[in-house]
Amino acid sequence: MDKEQPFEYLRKKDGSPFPKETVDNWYKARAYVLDRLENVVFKPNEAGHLHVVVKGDTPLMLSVVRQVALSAHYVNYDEEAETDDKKNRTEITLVTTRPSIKEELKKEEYLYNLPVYGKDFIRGESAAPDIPLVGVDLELHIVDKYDKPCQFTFTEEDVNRFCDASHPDDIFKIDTLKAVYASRMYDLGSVFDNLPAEDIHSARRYAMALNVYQHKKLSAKPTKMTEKGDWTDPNTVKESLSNLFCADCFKPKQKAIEACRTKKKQKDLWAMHNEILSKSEHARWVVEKLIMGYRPLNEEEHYKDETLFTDSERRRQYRKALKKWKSNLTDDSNPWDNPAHIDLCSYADLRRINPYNLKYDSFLVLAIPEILKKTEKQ
Amino acid sequence: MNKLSKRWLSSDCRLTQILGAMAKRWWRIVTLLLILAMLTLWAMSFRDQQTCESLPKLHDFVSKAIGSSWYWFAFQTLLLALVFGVCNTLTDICSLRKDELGITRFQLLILVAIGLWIIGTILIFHIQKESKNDIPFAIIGGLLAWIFQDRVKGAVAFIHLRHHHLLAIDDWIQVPKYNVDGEVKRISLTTVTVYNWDTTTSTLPISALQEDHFINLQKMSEGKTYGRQMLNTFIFDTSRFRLFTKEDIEAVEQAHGIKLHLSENDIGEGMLNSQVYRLYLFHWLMNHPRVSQLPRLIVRWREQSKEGLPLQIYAFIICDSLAAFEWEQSQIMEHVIESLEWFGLRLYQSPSAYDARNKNVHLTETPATYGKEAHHG
Repeated sequence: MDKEQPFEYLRKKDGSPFPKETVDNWYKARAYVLDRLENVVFKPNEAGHLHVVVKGDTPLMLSVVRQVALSAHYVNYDEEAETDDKKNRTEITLVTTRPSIKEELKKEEYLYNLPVYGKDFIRGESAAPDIPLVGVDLELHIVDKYDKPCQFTFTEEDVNRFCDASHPDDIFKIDTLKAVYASRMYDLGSVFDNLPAEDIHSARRYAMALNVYQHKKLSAKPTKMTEKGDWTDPNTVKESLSNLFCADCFKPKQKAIEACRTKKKQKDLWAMHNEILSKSEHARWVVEKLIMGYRPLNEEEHYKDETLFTDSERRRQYRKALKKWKSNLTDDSNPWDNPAHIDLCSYADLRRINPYNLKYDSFLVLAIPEILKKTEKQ
Repeated sequence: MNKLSKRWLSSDCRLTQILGAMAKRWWRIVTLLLILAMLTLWAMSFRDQQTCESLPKLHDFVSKAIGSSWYWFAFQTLLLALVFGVCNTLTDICSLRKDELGITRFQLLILVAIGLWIIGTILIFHIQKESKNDIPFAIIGGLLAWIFQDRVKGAVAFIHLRHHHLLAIDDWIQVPKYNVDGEVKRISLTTVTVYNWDTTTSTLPISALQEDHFINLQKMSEGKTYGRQMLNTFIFDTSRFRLFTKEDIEAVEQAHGIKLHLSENDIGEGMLNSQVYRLYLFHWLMNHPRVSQLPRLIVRWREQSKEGLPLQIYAFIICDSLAAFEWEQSQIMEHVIESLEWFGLRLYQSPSAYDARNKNVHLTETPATYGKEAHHG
């Protein structure tokens, strides 16, 4: 399948396209960061975390920070750990002296909503009152100077050297095959309506049915990512790119599982670690959604959602409406308000607020070895 | 032999484990081999001589025996006993190691061995329709089926329960009919051994679990379900019910740092304080980090009683142990008791003999306020 250029389809909240330089920076940052972090492995429940030092505050380096935030999600993140150091959050140190850097990072081409709604994301930054916060598996330190040696120190020269040494097609075009399959596997959750209410991660109960549908979905001929759906609609673009960012994290997950290889079959290992992998995938998804401009529901929206408990269909419609990007640009009073997503919460909260959606992560994670096998063959 | 057996049994390899279990039953194997060898040798020697003058009767007996069906029947029965021994030893080891798949496999192996034994018996004795032994065998078969009917049912129940993952070692089960409430410690083809919470042990036929009602609480106790059910009722003293105005709501919000999110339409001319409180409690529970919104989260008034109006909380608390559940439930109850004061409400409590006798309780000439102090207090 031909490579694609999906970042070109992203639009600002006013509907205008991003400058070419910004888009190019995203491609460069993606290629560089994925290459540098390729061999980083953390096993489930392993203590430790990745530390990345990004030197510089140029648009390219801020794109690198964005890409690290999108890609550096590991299965040892423990959202329920009592202390911060036990959460094993990825640490990004941004070396800059620019006073307005926090405001710069909040721009939609960089981290957008992540610094605003990410709980304890920027070290030392207290959140504004009444802002709904969501726990994230990353933390950002902004420092003037950083001299300690760090294995993952990213500089602009390094990024440019890497990009100059690579073929432009490898940088500015993306193989979206894994993302296409990921999208299909994500749909798999909607096929199963009568799952046991207990223990969604116990896949053995429906393993056979799951395998049948996995096979069916994977065996259909892949089409280009940008050929499916209306790519002028921001909702389609963001949802499709979500699959791409998700697929970028398949390899670290695979390596984490392979690192705990026992005599068990590979498939059994994925099933055994399903809950941990699903939690990690949810943590990644939360960060990605914040960067893409979504936000958690505020107190009033939660209240309204709760009052609709008597009418599940209206509640579903309300939640759906909240997560849509408003397309009515003529409404000046509320132009392109950030959409809110009910699932933007911790995994523990998701389990109590919207447990039906746990199956999507769970099924996707189970399908990762199949997707990787399939894509490696092609 | 014992040392070797233990070493093999502790191995992770299934085949080595089987050899270990066989080594543990070495005397059975030796007996089996000895009987076979003796009978075979004896028969061979007599066959060579064609006749045996010294022991004509014994010769006839052994010749008949080796050539007869009973020889092979005895052989297969001894083999069955060996399979029983090996499988039960390995089931014990699997139970200790919580190797669910191993338990199922070895118990099913016993079932397969019994099936093969029956088929073998039919073939050995040439049991067919209208054969000479068909009636005695039919009677014996019928009798055995009747005697072992519970075991046959047990085998079916075992397959059903295991195939559908309804029962496993360490599961917390309740069988109300047998007053069993505890953890499963051993599962075999016919029986389940449960270690009850009162530290007694119950053994019940596995078929009872299929025929009668049993509850498996394991997933719930591990916190894998929506949560544990909380069903608590609080009786409110209705003399404290009154209209709650917008100002009252604002005062409560300000005093206790809460947000009630009630719209102008909701409030209108005012709402009963009991209604505002019910709404507050519902949303407080909805946002409680340990209370699941599914499958049910209900805060409701129950039928009026002579003591007052009962308010019931029907919710599910997410937790992975009984102690954690009780802790969370107690904290919720404490919050209910604490917060109802904010809305000018009070729980009902019937006066005790102590109250009636207490000198502080006395008749007064002052007319009763009937709860009016709550309006101002």
